[in-house]
Amino acid sequence: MLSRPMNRRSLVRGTGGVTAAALLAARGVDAKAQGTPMPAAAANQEFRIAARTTQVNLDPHLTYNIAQIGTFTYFMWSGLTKLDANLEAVPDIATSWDISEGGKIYTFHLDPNRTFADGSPITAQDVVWSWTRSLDPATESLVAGSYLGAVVGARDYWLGETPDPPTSYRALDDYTFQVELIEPRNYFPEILVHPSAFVVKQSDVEAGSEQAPWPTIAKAFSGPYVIESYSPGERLELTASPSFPVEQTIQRITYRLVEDPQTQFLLYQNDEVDFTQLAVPDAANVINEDPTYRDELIGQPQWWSSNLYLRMELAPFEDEQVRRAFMMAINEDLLIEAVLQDLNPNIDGIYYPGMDVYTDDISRITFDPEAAREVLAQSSYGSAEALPPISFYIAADEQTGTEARLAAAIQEMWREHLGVQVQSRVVATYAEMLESDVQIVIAEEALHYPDAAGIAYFRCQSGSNIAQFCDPEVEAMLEEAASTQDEAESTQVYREIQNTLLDRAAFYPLYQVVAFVLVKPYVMNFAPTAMYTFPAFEEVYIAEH
Amino acid sequence: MFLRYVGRRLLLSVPVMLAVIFITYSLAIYGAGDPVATIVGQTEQRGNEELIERLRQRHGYDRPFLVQYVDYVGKFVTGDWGTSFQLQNQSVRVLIFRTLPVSFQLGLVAVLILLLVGIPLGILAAVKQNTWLDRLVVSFSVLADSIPSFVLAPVLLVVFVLKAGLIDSAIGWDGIFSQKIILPAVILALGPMLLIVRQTRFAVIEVLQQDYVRTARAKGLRGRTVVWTHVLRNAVQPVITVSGIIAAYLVTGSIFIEQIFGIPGFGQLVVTGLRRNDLPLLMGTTIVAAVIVLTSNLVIDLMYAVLDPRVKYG
Repeated sequence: MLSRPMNRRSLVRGTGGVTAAALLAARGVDAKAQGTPMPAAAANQEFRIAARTTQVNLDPHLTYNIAQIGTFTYFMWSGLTKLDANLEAVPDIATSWDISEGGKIYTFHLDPNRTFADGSPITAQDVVWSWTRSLDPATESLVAGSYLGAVVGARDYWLGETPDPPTSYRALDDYTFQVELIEPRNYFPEILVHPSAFVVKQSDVEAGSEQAPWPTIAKAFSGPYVIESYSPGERLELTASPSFPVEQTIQRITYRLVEDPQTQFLLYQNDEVDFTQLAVPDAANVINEDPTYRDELIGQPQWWSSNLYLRMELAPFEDEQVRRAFMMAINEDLLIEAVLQDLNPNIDGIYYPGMDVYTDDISRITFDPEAAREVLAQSSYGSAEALPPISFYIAADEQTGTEARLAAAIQEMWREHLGVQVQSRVVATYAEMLESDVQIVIAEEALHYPDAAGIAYFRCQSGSNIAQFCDPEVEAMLEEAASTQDEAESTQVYREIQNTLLDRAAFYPLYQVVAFVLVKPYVMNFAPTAMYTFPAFEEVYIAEH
Repeated sequence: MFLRYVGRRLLLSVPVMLAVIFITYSLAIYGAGDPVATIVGQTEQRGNEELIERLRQRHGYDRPFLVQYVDYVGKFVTGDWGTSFQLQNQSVRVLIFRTLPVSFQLGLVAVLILLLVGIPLGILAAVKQNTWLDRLVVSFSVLADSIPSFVLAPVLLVVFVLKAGLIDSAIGWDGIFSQKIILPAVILALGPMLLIVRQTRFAVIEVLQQDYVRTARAKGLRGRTVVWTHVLRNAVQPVITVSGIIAAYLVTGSIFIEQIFGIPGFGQLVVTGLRRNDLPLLMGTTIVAAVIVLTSNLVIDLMYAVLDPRVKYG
């Protein structure tokens, strides 16, 4: 399942050159696989990270940003399940689970030896309290309803439509937790890797105050590390939890909190940190210009992509032929090369390499300007002159970003190949865009849990359904794929859904997002994944240097 | 008389503050877009109108603008500054009072550098008027003024930290007695250096042409004594005016510097509020910045009396 990290040559030329295995060998991953001796561990097992934020979301139930989840939350908090290095949901606080006959009732068996960092046991009652807190409208979680919405009564409670917490999840005894779902959901254990479902201790939360938010004074962390000190806007220090069942080699994690990418890079250059994210221009510089840090660069394609949507309820894109013509006039290779500087791989469908449902046996609309003009002529509009005014959404905060540059390039392609002049329109918020009559949108979509069901932006009722695609047949297929316990059947249905979406020109996949990081050579066993940067962290250690 | 003057100035600042709040609130609501939709738009619930509506109701953004405005002012004066949308519902008041001392310290060091370097340079330029030294000082000030801090900061970081190794670590905040404050404070001070140098130079030149200075010189007093005894006290008043304005700017306006140097100050908080359209944070930081500017102006006016006995308050 692990997506292949990209190095300089594979990024630039697509294939060949230095292999991913060779790149990872520097971190010890390959050496370990081949049984060769690993470098000795240093006495000081401190891992120093330059994190691109000034404010850390310490409360797991209020953490939405996928980067924050991977960089901070997973170190401090745990749930019933977790992701392994292959991005599959495996037991964490729960050692196993049973699924009822109809697939609607999940019974989780908790590890009786599992404790919070303060030594108190993690019980099923703690899970019940945590979920209720996460869903409580007073907590103001913006996403708990997304992740626990499959649970009977959860969404209504979260939206404040019912005052009483759901009774559909309960503690059967101290170490058995049961939950009832509205419909069978074969990806439910995958959903539970989201912090919305993580376990916190009631007494910790209630001890918080305005002056001292509860996570900053918490004692009972459920994850592998605990907060030692936190200076907002400057530094966060974690130490390994003495109560965590898996011993961590890294004993201390120090985050330097800086929002400026240049400053992050400087900290790395000055050996003040062992790890940093790299902004795309800096990554391009390392890849193409300055070789100093080239061997320390890892480019990991994410399960996160950018798509072009031609909104189907708005003229002229209610006509499938028009959508097709516009997509055929886009030279994707040129976009990747000229706008994205070959730093991002293209993507052909809605699934990502490494996912079970991924297949490259699909046919997408490709660049063919001549055919594009013919298809437009065959549409109900007949010609470019007959099309209504068309506008392209530019997010107010993205005017100088990648999306704006892509939009400009695509507009030029449409002008050149179809003779269509598309205007840019800056809109303040996403919600305003949805309410507006702007017809064309570029948006990034990230998987928040490792299952094809996470790609829900073509569901009729989904707030992320920018394309305004709504097909009862596809809805039924999505329901079938999510409900069946037969994995092969589920995969097959998901692939059919992808083919339908591509056939109907419901979206145009542009590129896959790549996370660029720099890691010092003495950080061993470091292998980022396609969703989060730091899973399987217990394997990582600092070698003598 | 003095207290009545202070009271009247404080009273006058009330409508100014109400106007600041009104303008900021209007811009935040009607300019940058719905603050609730903005934060929900950053999550996978971005199109969930049910959620957006529930949050609007909960925070009162579904009410008419003027009702919201009056309610906000009422709560603000009673100490309820709201909670940040983006920073996990933390109290805006707590956030501001946690970051302000950092910016005050940074600003204080920058002002000290500015005055200790800028005023002597201005005096030097004035005393050596139209010589190469005068031109050198003025050119240096113009150069310092013309390089933006977001250009100067990375360049100095590379030069002093990576290349020369003169500073071990320049990123972060360890208080004013740490080497980490050197670069941010110097860069912060360099920006308004031209203003101080020019103001001092102009004021000193003007005083040097006064009759009483000529008289002092005619009496045979040494040049340095003339400058210290007769010129400086009279020339410093306009410099103080400018310094006060600059001090307020240095405390509230060190946005880029705090960002680049990873300093957990007020400027960093302002950026967070602006970048994420976090209305409660945006409002709180703007009002506090306005209070700082108004207070510094008042302090400057009051200092006139201390420096110039001819000034009377009425």
